[in-house]
Amino acid sequence: MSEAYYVSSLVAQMAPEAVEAVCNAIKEIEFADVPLSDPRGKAVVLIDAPGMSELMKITEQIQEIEGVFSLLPVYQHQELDDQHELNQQQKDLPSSIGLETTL
Amino acid sequence: MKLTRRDYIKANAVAVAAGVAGIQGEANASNLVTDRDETNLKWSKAACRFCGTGCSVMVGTKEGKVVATHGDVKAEVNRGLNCVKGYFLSKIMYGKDRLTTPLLRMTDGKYDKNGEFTPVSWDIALDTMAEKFKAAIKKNGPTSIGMFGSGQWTVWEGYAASKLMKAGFGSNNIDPNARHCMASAVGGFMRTFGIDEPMGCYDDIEATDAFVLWGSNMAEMHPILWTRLTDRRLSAPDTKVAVLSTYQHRCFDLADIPMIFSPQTDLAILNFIANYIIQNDKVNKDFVSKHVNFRRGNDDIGYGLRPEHPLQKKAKNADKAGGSKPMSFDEYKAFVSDYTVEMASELSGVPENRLIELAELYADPKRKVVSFWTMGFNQHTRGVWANNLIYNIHLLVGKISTPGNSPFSLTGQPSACGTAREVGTFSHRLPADLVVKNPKHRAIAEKIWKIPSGVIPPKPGYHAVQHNRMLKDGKINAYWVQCNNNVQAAPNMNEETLPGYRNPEAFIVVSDPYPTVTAGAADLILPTAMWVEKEGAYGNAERRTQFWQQLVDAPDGAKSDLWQLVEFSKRFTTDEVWSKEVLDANPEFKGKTLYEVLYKNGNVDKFPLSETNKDYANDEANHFGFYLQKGLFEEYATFGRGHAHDLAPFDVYHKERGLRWPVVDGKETKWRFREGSDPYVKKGTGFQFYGKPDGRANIFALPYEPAAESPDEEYDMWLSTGRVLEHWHSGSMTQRVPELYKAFPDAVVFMHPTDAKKRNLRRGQEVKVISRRGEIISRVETRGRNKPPVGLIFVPWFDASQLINKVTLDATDPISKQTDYKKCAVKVVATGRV
Repeated sequence: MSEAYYVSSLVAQMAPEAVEAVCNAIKEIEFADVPLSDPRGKAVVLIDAPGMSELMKITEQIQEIEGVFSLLPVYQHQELDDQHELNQQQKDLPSSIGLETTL
Repeated sequence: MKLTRRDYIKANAVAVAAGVAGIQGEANASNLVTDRDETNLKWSKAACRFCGTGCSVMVGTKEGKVVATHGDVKAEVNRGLNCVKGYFLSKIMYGKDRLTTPLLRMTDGKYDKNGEFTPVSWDIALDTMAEKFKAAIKKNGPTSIGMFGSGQWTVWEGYAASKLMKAGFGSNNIDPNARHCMASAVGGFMRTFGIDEPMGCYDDIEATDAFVLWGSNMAEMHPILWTRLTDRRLSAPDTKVAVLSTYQHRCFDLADIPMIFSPQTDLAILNFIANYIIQNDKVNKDFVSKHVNFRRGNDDIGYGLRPEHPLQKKAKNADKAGGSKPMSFDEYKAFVSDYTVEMASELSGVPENRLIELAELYADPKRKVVSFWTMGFNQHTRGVWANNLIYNIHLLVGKISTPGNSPFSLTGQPSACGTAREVGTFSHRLPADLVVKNPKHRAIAEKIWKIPSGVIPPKPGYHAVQHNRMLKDGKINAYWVQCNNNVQAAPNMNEETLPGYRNPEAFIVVSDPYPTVTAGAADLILPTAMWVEKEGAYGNAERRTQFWQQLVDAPDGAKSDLWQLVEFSKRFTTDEVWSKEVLDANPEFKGKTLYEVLYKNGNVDKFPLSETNKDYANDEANHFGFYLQKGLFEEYATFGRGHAHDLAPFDVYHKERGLRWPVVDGKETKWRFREGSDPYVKKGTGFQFYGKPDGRANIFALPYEPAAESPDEEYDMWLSTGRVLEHWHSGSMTQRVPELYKAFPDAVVFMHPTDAKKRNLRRGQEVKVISRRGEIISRVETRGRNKPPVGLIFVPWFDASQLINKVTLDATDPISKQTDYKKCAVKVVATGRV
């Protein structure tokens, strides 16, 4: 099993009457879980994703669930297998402006 | 059941989120989290690297690297929450292009202004730099060197820098980038109260009945405070939220009283509210008679442009912009009586009923009110006035210094307050609100610093915008930029900034972790350690001082700003920088290095290495052989202790989640100027604005005056620049976090659909934004988070590939010298490409 980590926890806010439906919808999403919820309209979301793009996609998916007011990020842990993975993540970033291009 | 490391990490993540949400977790969750052996993570506290809110975060390190962060549940400021930038803090240090070696422009092995950046050793870098600084001082005196610093410097970095410039080189040409963000707030505080920084604190949010946002877009720029404000609004339904801005933004979702006003007319609205309070007999007469003076400020003060600019020549009081004289309440009443609701409505475009609703929030004696503002007021050619005018209103009704009644100037940078303002890294200031032009203040500083009388020059140095003008004019010849990206940030880049940086008569040094636009325009780049790669301290917007330890090592070759400053000081002797008169009168200083005079002075080197925390590295202390950070802090704290700026002992801050100064007898101060809350207020006075000799705050009569540049037939739109949630300032850190980059990759031109249609522009189409000074290429956005009215565009400035400051105007507030980035005239045209 990969030793890379993409673990996040978030707090979702929702209408009290929507708690059950929203939590079930989140649990349906692969790599996402709802370990704790509060009938007054809050839930703790845990994501343990295989990679950064999945993590971002899951976060977006949760935000789009009907009844979710807000999704506040709390905890993030990203530990990569090696430098190669970090380089892969950063490959789409803009190349350094500055040294040659400023003037 | 055997739990894996992954299980422990996940349990930790759940427990922290449960704490934030206030949900009771299963009993075992909290027992799991502290087990460091199982998670292999070492957790330590740190202040967030970004805005002035001052959130505390917990930082998880493993094998010398930051791998995890979460909001600090024990922190009063953020109570475990993060904004999206704070959430990804762990990644800002690991951009693929971190600088690890000094780079000097060279040709054939020698420095050449037009050469290529070439890796050199630290010794060659600092020696070359010293040679240039010495040559400049020898040829043109100490005013020919300059330094541009930062509200992101740690407290001791700013202090070491200010000391090096003012007490070492005898030059006041040091200014922080906080000049671009907080100078008008400082000017407002000093003029009204005689002492800097807010009287209240964030606890006001949960104690108030009304919030008024003056230009501030807290939902994006101070999201954690916005969350607290939203919680208050939703949990106390009678709470009202008024939002004023020149364009619609995310805060309007929560607004009970939404108002879009024409740029610059905030001045008229502010005066209208004062008039409304007086006309409706809502003045708190007891408070005003005991605690307030009235003054008429000079008007027609110009626009802080170059003296030869026609607008400057025309202005009656350009050379005495800060002047004022006493007046009576009746004279003030007559002055504001012109600002009727009809007049304010016509000028601002805000409907009369809305203006009255707004005024009533302040006037109603039963309602508490907090006013928030940031760059909308401060980046304003009448920014000090705007600050004065909001204080006028709070003072007239006595809604100040009590829980929930608070005129609150928010801050943009993590230590604009703690470093730039409190340490006094401005060109006119010394620590603890002292100023260079006051001989008594200079004497205090020279005594604490153990330097001869006469070293600190009495004349204020050049301010930020003037730095670039003086580089261009050849008056500053050696210049050091630390911890900011001023080529991207400063206004009017084409006409003032780049010509200065590339002037053959100037040698420019830039210290940065990354190759920024400013680094690219430099002659020497110094690779710099950042954030938790060094021990640090920041001071946030509510006077809270917070510390952190060095949690990881910087990449090999990168050195902190503090290391660079102190190491540089070793290369100078007093004979090279001080005047003959000073040395003749004080021969014991002859031949000493600035390192000996400034840092091995018995104060700064007082604390031995044994006092550093053995659980953490401390690269600077180990290099210099004493606890440098503690020595600098304790010497600095001498300025404020006993003078209403008391800081706690150094070691206390490593234990606390910050404390709000003045800290007297171990107790922080939440509300200043009120008896029973502030230890400096005398018994029996009720309130005391002790920054002024008579204990009274000033209400100022100041008029509405137009902007420096307004739209006309050719340049037919207002341009306002600003920030977005995902990126912090120039994006040099957040653009290197893949998640944040992807969330908002490129700047866009936010524009009203009617304006787009009128110009035959479609959403997403490529356009030029053109002013009299320059142009950029961007794309049209007619939807999304910002919705400008017809006639105004909003363009964020984080994007190094779209340098909007090529377009902006370098008009400044004549009192604070802060640039107005919110108002200039532009046109938007299609490029012809898709």
